[in-house]
Amino acid sequence: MPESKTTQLPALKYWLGGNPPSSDFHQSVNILIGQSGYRENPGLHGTFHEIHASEIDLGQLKVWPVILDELIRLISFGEERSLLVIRFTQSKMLSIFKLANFLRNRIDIDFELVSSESSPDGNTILKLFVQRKLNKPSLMNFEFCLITNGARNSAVLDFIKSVKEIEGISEIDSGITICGPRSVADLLEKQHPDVKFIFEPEQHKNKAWITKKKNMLVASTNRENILVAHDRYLLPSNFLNEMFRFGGDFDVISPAQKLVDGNRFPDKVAMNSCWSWSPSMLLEYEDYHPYEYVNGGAVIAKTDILKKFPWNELLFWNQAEDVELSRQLQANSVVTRNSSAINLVVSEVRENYLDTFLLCPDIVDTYPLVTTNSEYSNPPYLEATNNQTLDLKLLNDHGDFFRNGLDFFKHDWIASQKGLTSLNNVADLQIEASENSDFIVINFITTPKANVICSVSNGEVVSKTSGMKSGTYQLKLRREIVSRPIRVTFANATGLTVKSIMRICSNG
Amino acid sequence: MANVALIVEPNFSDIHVGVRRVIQHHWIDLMDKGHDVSLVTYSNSDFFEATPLGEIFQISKQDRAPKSFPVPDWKVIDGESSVIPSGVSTSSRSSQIRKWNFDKKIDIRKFDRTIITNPWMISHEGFPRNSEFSDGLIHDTIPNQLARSELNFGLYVPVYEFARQHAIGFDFMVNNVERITSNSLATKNDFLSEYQNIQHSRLSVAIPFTPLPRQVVDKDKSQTNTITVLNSLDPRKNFGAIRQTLLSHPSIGELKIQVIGAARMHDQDTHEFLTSLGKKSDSLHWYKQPTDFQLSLLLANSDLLFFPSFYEGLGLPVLEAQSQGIPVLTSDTPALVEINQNSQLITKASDTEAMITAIDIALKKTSNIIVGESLVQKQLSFLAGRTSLFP
Repeated sequence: MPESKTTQLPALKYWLGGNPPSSDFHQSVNILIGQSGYRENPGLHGTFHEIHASEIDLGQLKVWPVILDELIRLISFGEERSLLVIRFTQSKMLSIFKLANFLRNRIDIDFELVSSESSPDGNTILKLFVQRKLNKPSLMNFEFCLITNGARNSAVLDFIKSVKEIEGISEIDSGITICGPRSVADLLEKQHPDVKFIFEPEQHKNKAWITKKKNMLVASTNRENILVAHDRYLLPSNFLNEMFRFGGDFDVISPAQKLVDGNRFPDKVAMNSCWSWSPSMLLEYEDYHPYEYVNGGAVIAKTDILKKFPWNELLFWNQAEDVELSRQLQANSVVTRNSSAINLVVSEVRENYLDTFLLCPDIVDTYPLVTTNSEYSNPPYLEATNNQTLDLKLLNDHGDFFRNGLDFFKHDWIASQKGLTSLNNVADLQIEASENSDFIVINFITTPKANVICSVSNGEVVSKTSGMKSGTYQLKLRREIVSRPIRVTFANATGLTVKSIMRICSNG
Repeated sequence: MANVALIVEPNFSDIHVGVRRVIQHHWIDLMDKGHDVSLVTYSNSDFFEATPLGEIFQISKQDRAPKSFPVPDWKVIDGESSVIPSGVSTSSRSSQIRKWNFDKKIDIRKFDRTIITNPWMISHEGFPRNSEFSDGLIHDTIPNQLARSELNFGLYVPVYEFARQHAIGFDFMVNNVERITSNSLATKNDFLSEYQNIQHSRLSVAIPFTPLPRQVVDKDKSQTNTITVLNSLDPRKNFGAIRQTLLSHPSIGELKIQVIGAARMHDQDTHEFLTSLGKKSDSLHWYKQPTDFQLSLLLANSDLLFFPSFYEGLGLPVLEAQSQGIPVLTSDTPALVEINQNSQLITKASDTEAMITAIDIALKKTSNIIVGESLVQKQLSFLAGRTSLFP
């Protein structure tokens, strides 16, 4: 009989997909899973000499830049070149020249074309030799930086405290650096002499020169990893654990951000255009949008990346300095990664700030733009459905709801036999209406003891009726800004089902 | 004499024509050597025998019976094409029906030799993977090479699932089968490149080819040459280079073209291939699915088989043509280099200029091209001792 088992060489070859053509591949589909941030086990980063991603069609994945970024991170470090094989069909999301531009602009790789073969059915298989130019990254040193204008000293102290209480913080080389006015320096000298302080520039003080302050913080450290935040953030105690779970091989991370009450803060966001002032959109964590930007409130990055691509010091606070930085990163194929597990806590929110973000539907094969009624004429369906009951149990998927003027995060709601059912304790529902509709009536059911709390953005609750025993409720809402949708946040909402809505037009 | 089980897929007679012919070859070869051969399949992790036994062998005998020339399924003469009504075409070949006695399990251990006839059956649900086997057959590693993007046929082939099935089968054979037999040295080498640590003594080559008797055909006395292209309506067979080469040949108007084999590509490409060559050549006949005997007649009636495949695990058409004394122009893919008995008729798969030159050499029989009985004998010498799984 044959020898017991053939000696297997270490798997130096990676196969993205379910059907590796031989057993010497490490096979995985982790990169395709949005819930894990399209992230592979960090122990596999920088280890493979061959990466094969031809089983999937990259051109049909709207998150292709993220997936390609992750594939590149699997390539081994060192002198040897590795083989990268990808397949794609061109689509409105990926063109061959966009892909080529993405690869050409990567600052962390050298590559050489092996072959690019297109077949008549539109499939192209691209083979490249790729060499990563950087050294193996690490998370063993971290600079935690904060900018402040001196108006929220308690928030500064809370930030410092939260950093010092991170589990495992003493096991890495870390530091805290604050940039702000002299008043804060005096405070820290007494309470936290171990915290490094940088005096903010005297110039342009009244305009909040946050770009300069952030750049000064970046320039002040040689630690490999850096977090730069405004003075409204706290770090959870599991911050480092989650960072290590994510791995050190990244350029920029836009962390998840939660309000103190657990609600989501606009952490994965996009503009409605590349370079124009336009409405901001809140994206699903699993989504990707070419107009994404890193919300400037908090960013995690490799320090070298922010030294190479600093904030633009021509810009001040409230001049979209975060959008400009993000565009600069995108132009150099620096992909901002998201992790819903790496969380920051937002201790304070500017009034009405949350209302400026519209939910962006995660549509599988397109990068949608949100519209407001002021920009475009009312969609005909909204006029047509005025004074009609929209029975939600007749709608099946997110696209159905979206076409009927309802939007929500897919992890918050699910289409059920009764209507639209909440999956979470807190769930947002965004409702569009025509300019002519005066009120929006929402009928929903829940358990009698659920004690549902409804809060409304861009609107007010005009009346609320409830059948105490049946658990049937009705909300009547009125918008404040007619051109924008209304957003209802349900708390204690697990199992709540919205059965129908009606847009009421008193003149119609 | 050994008691031998040829283990096949339950529906093996309806799929994978090439594999069916390999099984048929080994069946006949082992029976001719006096072994007791059974056809065995599997279901729900048990083995079952076929009833009635010997069906393949009988079909083979029928195929050897004398028959007339087939009628083409489609032809172009003087630029005019015509489709032959169905019912008389070669497509009417009856399918082989096989019945399994699934009521009666058999104990595989009663056989002296147990031969897994393809690797992918091992991945099937119901294949008894807790058994051990004496032999495994490997036909090629093309799906695996395609999946790794090591081969390019000019067309994307979604081959990943089949490649995975191959890989599962290869792994199983490496760990559970005593001897692994490839159908060519080239395929053995391909396998070795994937399983470098396997003992070389466990690998062997058996070329699964039984030559049909050489046919004597009254050839057209005119100066018109006949070029045959076999199984060429398939991206892997390099149909683009075949068409370009023949269309560019200075004597295309004086060539008769026989196209043999069903189309495995888009209808539009097939139509364009046939009509463009049909219009320029003296005539073009397409035979979709001739029997083995009809095939030998058609090959014997030609002057050259043009077979410049991108890649082959073996290349049975080359052996079939040479057994009729017909030289073959092939590409330089390793399996074809291994079996082409005329080394002057080997070109790169992309070099149509070299193909045109080689066609002239073959048709004018210059450069010591071996044809006719000399070629038949040379091939027989080459095959001697290489076609059997075991004595």
